[in-house]
Amino acid sequence: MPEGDEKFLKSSFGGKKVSRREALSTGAKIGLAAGLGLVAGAVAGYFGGTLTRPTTPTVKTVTETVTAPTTITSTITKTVSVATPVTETKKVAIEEWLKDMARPFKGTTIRIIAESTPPSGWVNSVLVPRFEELTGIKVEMERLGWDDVLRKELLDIEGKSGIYDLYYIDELEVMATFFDKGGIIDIYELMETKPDLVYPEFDLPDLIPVSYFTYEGKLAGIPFEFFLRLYTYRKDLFNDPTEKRNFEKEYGWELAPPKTWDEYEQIAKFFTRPPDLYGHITMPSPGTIAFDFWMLGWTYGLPNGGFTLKRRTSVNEGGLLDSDRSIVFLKRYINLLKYGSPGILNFTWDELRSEFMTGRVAQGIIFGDQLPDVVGSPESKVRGKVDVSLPPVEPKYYFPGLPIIYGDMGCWAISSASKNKEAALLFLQWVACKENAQREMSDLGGLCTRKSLLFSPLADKIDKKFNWSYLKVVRQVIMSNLATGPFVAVPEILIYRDMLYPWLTKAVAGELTPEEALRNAANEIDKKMKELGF
Amino acid sequence: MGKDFTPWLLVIGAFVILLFNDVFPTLYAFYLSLHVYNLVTNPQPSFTYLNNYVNLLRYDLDINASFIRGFTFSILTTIISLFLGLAVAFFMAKDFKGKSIFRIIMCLPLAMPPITVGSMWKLMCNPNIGIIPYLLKFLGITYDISFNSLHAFITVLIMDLWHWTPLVGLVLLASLASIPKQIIESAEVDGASWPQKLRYIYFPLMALDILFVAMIRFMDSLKIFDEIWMLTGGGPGTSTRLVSIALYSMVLKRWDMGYGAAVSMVFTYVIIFVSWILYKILQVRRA
Repeated sequence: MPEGDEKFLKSSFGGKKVSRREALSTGAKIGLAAGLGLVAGAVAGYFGGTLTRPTTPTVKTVTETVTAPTTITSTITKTVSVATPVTETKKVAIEEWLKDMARPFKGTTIRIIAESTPPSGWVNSVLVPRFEELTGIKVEMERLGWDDVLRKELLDIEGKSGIYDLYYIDELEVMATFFDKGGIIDIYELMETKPDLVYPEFDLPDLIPVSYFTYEGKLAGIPFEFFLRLYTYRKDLFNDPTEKRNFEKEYGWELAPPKTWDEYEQIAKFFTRPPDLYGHITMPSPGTIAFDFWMLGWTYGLPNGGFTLKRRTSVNEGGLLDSDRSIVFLKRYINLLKYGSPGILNFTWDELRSEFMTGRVAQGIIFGDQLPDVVGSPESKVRGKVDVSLPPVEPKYYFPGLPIIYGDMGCWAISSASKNKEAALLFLQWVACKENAQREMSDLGGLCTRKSLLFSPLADKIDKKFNWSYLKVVRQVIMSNLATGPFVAVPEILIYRDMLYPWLTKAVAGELTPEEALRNAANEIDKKMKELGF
Repeated sequence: MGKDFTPWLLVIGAFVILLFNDVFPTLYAFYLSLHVYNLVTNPQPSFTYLNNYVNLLRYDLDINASFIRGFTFSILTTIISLFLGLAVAFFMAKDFKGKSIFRIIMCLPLAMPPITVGSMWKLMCNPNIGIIPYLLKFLGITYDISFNSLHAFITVLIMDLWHWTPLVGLVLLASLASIPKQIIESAEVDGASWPQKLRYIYFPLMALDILFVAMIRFMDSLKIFDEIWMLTGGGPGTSTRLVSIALYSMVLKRWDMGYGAAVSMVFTYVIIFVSWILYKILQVRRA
């Protein structure tokens, strides 16, 4: 060491020569002592303190009355308001009203986070620019995958950072959690305290998903997307005379959308002709298989993936996850994968759409928000060749009246930390007003959020435009109460799904039998729920 | 003469940064690990003594399996990358035409962010369009990492080797370059064979650097996340679900902050302990 440095060190550190080894050693000893001291202090402090572990969970349960579902085949007459034609006067009204109301908020910026779905993309590209033009309020939208959206929203709420003014919500569990944490406000309350900021023609009850986003009487957000996961098929193949003839010859029934999973499998086998055509598609990747199981399980009489309100999954504890129907479902699910495209085991919801668009898939259960691309995108090779129907069921386990179709809806909720709540409310009304809901329906192949539009002649016109029957089927589903809830917010469903997927993927990979996988999953999940206090 | 606090003032900035980036987060993680705290289901932390640790070490077969898988992965990748890195270093030590270009190409994987590496390998392994399944078909191998656990694990291993062996090679090349040429020449004059040179000259003189790079590789490989997450997501089944992926799932999907903090504390101290052992070996070697 240079003499100068040595002198410097001597004079600065108490005249004592400190080698690097000694310094590191001393530092480590200090750190270790501090760590041990903290452990002892933490244990002693809390032991002597008054904190006790709560014996009951802090999650609130919402009870809603669910009307008894009817059978699929019965006809129900419902009185619904018919959409009044959108006249030029009405169109101008919302825009004029906005221009007026937004004056005090000109120059503000609202930040929105959303899942990157076609509806949010449409809002961002079509409605946002016009809103900015009308109001002078800047809108910044961040569109991400669902996992990333939820993570950012939860962290924003936890940290109270208020980065976002509007949070995207599409699950009841998420909504309940956000309310419990005080992360979002009650839209009803905001509308009552600021009646001037409520567009007179808005008609909130007309929005189909409003009841889903109501929690303990509070409205979490204003919905802007609603779609169903329907059985989707290549009608050009199904209507081809040669295909029909050959199918009937082989299986003894007329080729048509299947009513049972046996029929589905026969169709899948018939149309599997690698490498150009495959008879099945789904999303069994590790990130999405638990969703698939939970969504499609209803058709096997397996509500909510076998997860009960008492937070139990095993049959011994009142659940259904390791029940016979669940095992049959998983066996069929795995068996059907052999009729899928190569690489299907890595398919997520993105591949459901993109693979179908290539024209290599004959049928599948596809999300409604992906269908606009399938039927309308210039890149799609199946434009005009696709139609939808109700999904098949397993007759042995399915009972009439049980919802069978996964209904997805999305809304934007206003952050309680937002400094631009009023501007955010104006934006929400702009997005979901009748005029723009109609535009969305027309542009996005029929994604419809309003009852009045769904039951209007316009819906038939749009179906005709896209050469399919999506809105007709949606009407049938709504009238027959076939869309799945959930009807009660169960935040622990997030834990259930995350604990379930490793077992499902093991079964798919052949490492375990379906019975073993589901039994282990049920035991593990129930053990976790007990640890959480349920 | 008054005490001069200038040196302390000069280092205080670094201390403050260390405090906020390392010390406080570690202390907070330890605090969380003593609680039942789930952002969704138990939003108010409740003290649970050391139950999280007890559950982890005694009952959580999934996490324990992830640890074992992670260690197996790290040991394999460290040993293989050492051999490959050594081979690369010896090759690079020679003079040949195009050496500098070869060096640049060899180091290209190092310049890639891990997420890009994962995406690239995912495309290469795609059963429809990937080059790897296509080539393996000619060897009669039906290659599918989404279905075959062994294929997935081996692919992840090879991907990691592809990404980080250049670093090992560069470090060992520098070590090789520091060996005095006279020693090698004397050995050659004395008629030492290549294995003898390796055993009696290269390895002893490079031992410290080999141990050092082994320590770095081992620690890094235990923490691997991005590449595996992109390529397999931890699947099929749990064959590539290493600790980092299990932890991600626990904390950012289940939102189990308390238990996740306990797992990360144990994980951290396992890495520290293993590194400490390697460091001790280094010290002994140095002495």
